[in-house]
Amino acid sequence: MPASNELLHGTLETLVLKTLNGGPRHGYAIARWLEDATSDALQIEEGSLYPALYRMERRGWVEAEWGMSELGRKAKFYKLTAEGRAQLERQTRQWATFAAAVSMVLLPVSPIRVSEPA
Amino acid sequence: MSDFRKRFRTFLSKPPVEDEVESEISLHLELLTRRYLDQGLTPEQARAKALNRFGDAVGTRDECRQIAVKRDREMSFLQWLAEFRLDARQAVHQMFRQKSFTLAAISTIALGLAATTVAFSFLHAVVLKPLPIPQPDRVMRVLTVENGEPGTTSTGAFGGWVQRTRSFEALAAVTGEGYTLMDGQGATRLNGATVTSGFFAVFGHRLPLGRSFSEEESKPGGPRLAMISNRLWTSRFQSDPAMVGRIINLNADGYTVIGVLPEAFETLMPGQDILMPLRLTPRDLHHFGGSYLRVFGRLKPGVSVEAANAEMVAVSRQLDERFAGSRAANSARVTPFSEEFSGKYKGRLFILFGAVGLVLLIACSNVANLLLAKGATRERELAVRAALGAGRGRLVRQLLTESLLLALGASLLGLALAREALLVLVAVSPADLPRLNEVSLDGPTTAFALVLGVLSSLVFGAVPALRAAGVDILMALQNGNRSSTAGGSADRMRGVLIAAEVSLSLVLLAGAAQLIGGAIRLSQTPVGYEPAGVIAAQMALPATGYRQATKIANTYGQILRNVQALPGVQMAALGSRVPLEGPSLGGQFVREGQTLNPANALRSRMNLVSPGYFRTLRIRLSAGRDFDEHDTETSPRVMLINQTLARRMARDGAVLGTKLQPDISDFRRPDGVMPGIEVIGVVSDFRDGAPWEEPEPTVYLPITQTPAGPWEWLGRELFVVARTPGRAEDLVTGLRSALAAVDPLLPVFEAHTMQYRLDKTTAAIRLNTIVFTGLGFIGLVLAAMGIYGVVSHFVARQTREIGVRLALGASVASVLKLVIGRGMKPVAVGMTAGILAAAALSRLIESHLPGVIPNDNIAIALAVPGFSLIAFLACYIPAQRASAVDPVVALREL
Repeated sequence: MPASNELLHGTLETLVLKTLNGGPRHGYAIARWLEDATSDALQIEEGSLYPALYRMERRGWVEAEWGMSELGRKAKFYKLTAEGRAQLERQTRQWATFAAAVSMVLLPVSPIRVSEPA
Repeated sequence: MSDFRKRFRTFLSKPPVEDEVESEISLHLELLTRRYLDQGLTPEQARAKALNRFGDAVGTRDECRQIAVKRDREMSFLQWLAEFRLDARQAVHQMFRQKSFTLAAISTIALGLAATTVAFSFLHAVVLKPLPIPQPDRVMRVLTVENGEPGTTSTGAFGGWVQRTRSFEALAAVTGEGYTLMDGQGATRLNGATVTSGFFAVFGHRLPLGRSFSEEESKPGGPRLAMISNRLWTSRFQSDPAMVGRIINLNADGYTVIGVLPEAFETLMPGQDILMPLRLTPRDLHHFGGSYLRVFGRLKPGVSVEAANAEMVAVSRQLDERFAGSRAANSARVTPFSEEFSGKYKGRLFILFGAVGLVLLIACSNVANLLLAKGATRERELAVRAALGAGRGRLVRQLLTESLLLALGASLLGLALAREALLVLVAVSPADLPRLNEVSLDGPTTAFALVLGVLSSLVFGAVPALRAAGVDILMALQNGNRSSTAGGSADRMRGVLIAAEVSLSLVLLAGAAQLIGGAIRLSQTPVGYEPAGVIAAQMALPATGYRQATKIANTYGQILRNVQALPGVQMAALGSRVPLEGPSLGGQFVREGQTLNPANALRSRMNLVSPGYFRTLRIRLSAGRDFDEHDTETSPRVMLINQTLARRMARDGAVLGTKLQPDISDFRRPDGVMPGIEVIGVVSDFRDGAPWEEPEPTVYLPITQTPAGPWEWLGRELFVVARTPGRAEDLVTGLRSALAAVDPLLPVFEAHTMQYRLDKTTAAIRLNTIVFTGLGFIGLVLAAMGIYGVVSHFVARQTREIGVRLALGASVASVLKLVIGRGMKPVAVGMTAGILAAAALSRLIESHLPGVIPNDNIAIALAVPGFSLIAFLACYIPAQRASAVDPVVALREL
């Protein structure tokens, strides 16, 4: 089921931060990593990564480095900053709390039936 | 390395925004295309699938660009801020390391800033601040111009104007009146104003309590109503909230208080505590005789001052032709009220402001010179910075930051100095300076001081900063802090600054010298009377019971006899005014038998006196006789005139014995005949007004022969003057009892010695002189300090050269001559410029404000040698010290 970008908006940034947790990457590499990690379940429009990356750069969660790409051209690599790391932890916790709460409502664990001995 | 700094480095080396986004997106698309190619698609299919997977490439690119632009802007700002903080911290370190320089620079600028701030606070409070009335620029004073002299207006003219003019929303007439307030706290003399009902339409309505008079109430025969000033309400009536409706006793009658005036009113009409309706009868509205009204008006929206002026002139002419008959020379003039309010002091304050501006400029150039000198010693440090990559702009910014911090320090010190100075100056300022009580270190003044501080930092810091930043790196690193010879652009710059300082100082000094000269001349001007030992006090009779001229004259006669009988009184007399105080009546006279026309009209002041008035003030009669006890109500009409009028009369006929007819309707006898009054004596001219005001033609009439009209204009007030061989002050109680013996309710007020009045008038002049002399002195000191500092620096750098010359056999004298010559050259240039500037300026000021700074070339001529001497000393001392250096030591420094 194709996911809508609006739903992913804030979460997308968190996902990107998580991606960068493993080291500096450029935009294409981030897209590939996410594809692998989610088995392409999300089907993200890859272009939407860039505004998110630029916003995070402005906010100081990531910083840019210029390095060599696979094609031999100079490319912009994104790296997680200390503040970005803190943001990642914060948002991961928030997501866990959120997901647990929603799950409790939508996917309740059925109560264990204790059968009375006859 | 911190995250922050790393981001800066990246930021500095990144490509521009368009390329940045473009290359990122194209790289991504290309990699995607490659991937699909590897999966086996055709190039077209791969490309299409890549674009599909990517999404809206154009939209993304635009969005990213926008975000990137904002990101870069924020980065720049943060970088700038960090650099500024760095510069500031370094500057503070510098300031503490070079304490004496910092102290010298800060105190110099602080002096200039303090003086300028003080001048501004006066200028702001008195002239610049808008008046506390709605739309003050629409309020005008309408003057009557008689024979070219602007002045007060007659009731008839006012009536005519109200009827016939269209330019004004409202017109109001105001005149002064004295009142005696009586209650449990005793009898107090108050000043008041009577106004027509249009007054509040002109000046604004907002009253803290009560209401103003209606037009109906202002008609003759209306109820006895009064309004009181805010000051009176708070001081005398304890801000009684039930003030409205209270009845107060004024001039032995009960008046109902209907309202309290706003505080703004005290600014507009200072000293007026009572406001009453001015009741003009139909007869008044056609009476063009005495003029004593001040007329104000509020322009209708859209009407210009010029248009109103033209209308008033035309209407006045109409009125002349219809009613006033012979007064063909009457006209009108409309001037803005603000002009009238502060016009007298506006010019002076602006001159003062200009003068302190000069002082500030001198101070700035002093500090600029100091900075230039310091810059020379920092060449190495700056060269190192430049070598490490700091651009020229960066260096300039750093140096300017230092200047800015110096200026801020100076601003704080300057504000503190200004506060003290203001306290002193406000206390010694002339009392009639409008809004003197609002002169303070208020918001606008403080803001001005701070802004001026920042601007000064640019003025004194810019040139040294630019110079220092343009340093030649290689040369500076090699030479270190030593330069071999004097000359070069740095020294030329310093020379120019010195010349500028000298010329500015000279202008200030010349101005001060002129003022001192003027003040000396003023104090030596004989006033024509002898103030020592004379006391004068003012008295008033109420309207009730004193309507007839005879009754008034007789009562005052009795009072005079009581005063003359007092112990310690050598002689005493009465007069409608005394020198420097009292109302000025005036009118036109013509020789008996002639018809009044502009050619033979004798326009003169008019005063009432009793016999012995002139003798009491020790004023001589140059011809004829004084009034005596034979000049009574029934005897032939007589008058005295002063020499100024006598000279005018002598041009076309006899003086003594001639009869003059007044052109004042109140003098007409009951049978309709205008009496001819015989000139029986000529009084020597004396300074009836301020000591610098030339005497005007004046006529003196005996009190016993004064008709009812003039008594009405005077409000039945007279001065008693008494000469005592002892202390004049001791006479005051005696005067009060002399009056009380006649009528216990009569007040005595304004009882002062003549000397006190004289001193008060000259106080303003003296203040002027003190202030300008002080400024001139500060300017002189600053300039001398500047010259000394520069020359000693000059000379210190020439130590080697001096040593060489001395070693080569030159005499000390010749070396001194060389060095001093170099130092005095800019001084000479500055003096020439200064002399020319001073002469031109004083001529300019004289033409705009005669009498303020008398044009006096002698003063300039005196200032020049004085200044030269000081400049010479400032050059000589360091030169002398340098020449005393051992040539061997000097040579060793090679």
